[in-house]
Amino acid sequence: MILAIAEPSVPASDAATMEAVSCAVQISAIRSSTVILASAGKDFEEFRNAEGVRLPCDVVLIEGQSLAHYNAEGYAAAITGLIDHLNPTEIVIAGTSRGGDLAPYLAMRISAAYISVVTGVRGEGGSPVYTRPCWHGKMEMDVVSRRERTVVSVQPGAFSAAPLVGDERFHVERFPVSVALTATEPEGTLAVSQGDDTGLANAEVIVSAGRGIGNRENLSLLMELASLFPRSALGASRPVCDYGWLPYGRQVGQTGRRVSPRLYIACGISGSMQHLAGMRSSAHIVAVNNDRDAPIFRHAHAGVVEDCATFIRVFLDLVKERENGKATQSEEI
Amino acid sequence: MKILVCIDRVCDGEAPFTVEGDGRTIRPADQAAWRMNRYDEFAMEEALQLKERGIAAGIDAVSVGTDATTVALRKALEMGAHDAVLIRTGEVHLTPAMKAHLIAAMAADVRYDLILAGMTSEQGLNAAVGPMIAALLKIPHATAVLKMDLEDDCRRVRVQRELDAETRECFRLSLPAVVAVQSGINRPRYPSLSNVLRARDQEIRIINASDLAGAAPDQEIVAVRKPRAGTGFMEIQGSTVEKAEGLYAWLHERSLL
Repeated sequence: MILAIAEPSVPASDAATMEAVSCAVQISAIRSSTVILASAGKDFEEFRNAEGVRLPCDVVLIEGQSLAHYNAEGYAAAITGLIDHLNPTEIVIAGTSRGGDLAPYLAMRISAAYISVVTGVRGEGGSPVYTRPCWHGKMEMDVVSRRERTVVSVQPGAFSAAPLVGDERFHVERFPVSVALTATEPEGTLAVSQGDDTGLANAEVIVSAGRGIGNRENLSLLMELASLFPRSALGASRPVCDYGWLPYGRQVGQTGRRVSPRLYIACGISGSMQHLAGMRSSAHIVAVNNDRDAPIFRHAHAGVVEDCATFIRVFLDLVKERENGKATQSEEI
Repeated sequence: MKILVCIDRVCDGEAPFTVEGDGRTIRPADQAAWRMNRYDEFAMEEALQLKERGIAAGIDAVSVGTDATTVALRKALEMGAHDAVLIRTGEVHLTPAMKAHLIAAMAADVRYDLILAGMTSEQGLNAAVGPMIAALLKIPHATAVLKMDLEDDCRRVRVQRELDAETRECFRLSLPAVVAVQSGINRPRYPSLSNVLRARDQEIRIINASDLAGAAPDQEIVAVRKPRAGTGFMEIQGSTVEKAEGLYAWLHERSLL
């Protein structure tokens, strides 16, 4: 059987959990096997009462102390207990912050193969072949496991969050475990402020800066570009914030703000998975980058292969010329 | 306390590359530049700050790979690592589990108090080696760490890990522990001239992978390829001015400008 692991400490219907289930269902079809969704530290009633939760599989609730808050030590021990009991061939975990913390650790504990950031799966001779990104996200590769057991982490957004064959009448079973934490003391979560409202949430047009703009000084060009559009805001990729060129409040991405403006102009942004997760749903995406192989072009609607700063200077001059032209025309009329 | 920093070598992301005839090996152009993985610079910086606060007595940097990997270790020495260790392998594809087994085997002999790593490799994108080392050494770990403080006479480390833009998750971990740091936890320094000169002549210790308890590959690459482009993409071509005109027209047609 295939074991999917629910995202810890979030509602039962969480998208990351459902995406992991979708991937597990695809693997089970290849293996002619079944799926069980395991959820640690969640209470029974939440799953029963979660309205509209449809699952193509039964649920096992792993119950025990030390599971109230996510922690790798306790979760891995508890899930290992269930794995010994159910003997799954694949364990599928969402590639979220917590899932990415747990999955490789669990894989080593149970001597399984670890295949991460999986974006697709297909069958070959009754075994799964996984697709995942590689080489800076510019290429992808197909990999097969060389172990009897495999832990798979799933790229957020790659699989459907709505498994179609679901049923509301899934069976829920309890699996009590006894886990004592010896080296980890969870202290709960902490809210952090990212500073001022940067206008990203309500902007119709976002001009975003990546490492490829070359230096901090070139940000003024991007600001000038943004000023051509009403209701615009300046965004950034994570490295630009890491360099201190812009504050983290302007970071767009999985670990930053998620935006979907009418127009997103990515300047010198290569398009890491991290960044794409935060802006992929924008209505129109324009990318300017000097690297033709940059992943951002695969998600853009229009692209220009050019040095960013050079191109924006030329573009700004052109716009000025056109506007002056218009002004002259209207005077003549 | 003694710190180990795990360093990876990556190829410059913009260097040209080809896929070899076997259809599963990516070969960068000969002139491609190799360097330290950017995420590992943050791990090095965190270790150096502990040294400067008088907390860390020794900092070792370790990397797994061929002799060419020394370029990343040299950078670690330039930044201020005391010693550098290369676990030397042949020219083979190393999965994160294979690297973790070798580093864990090497670290088990030395008994480090703290093992630091970058969150992920820019090139391989696995984010796995740190937690794997922790599992193999049976010690705690945290990934995506944006803040860490040692307390209780360096018996524990208090960490904040990144959940999303507005939430962090806090733990106290007993040492020894593995901490994989997220980019932005600090500002990695540029090596000083004196450190660069010192590093130039410093010997990098070599351990042959075959002398350590390694692991067989846990997975096999069967194909690599360029991902399919999205539908509805248009590249605007021509001279720079023509491209600017093309983009202007594209935006106009869609009433975006």
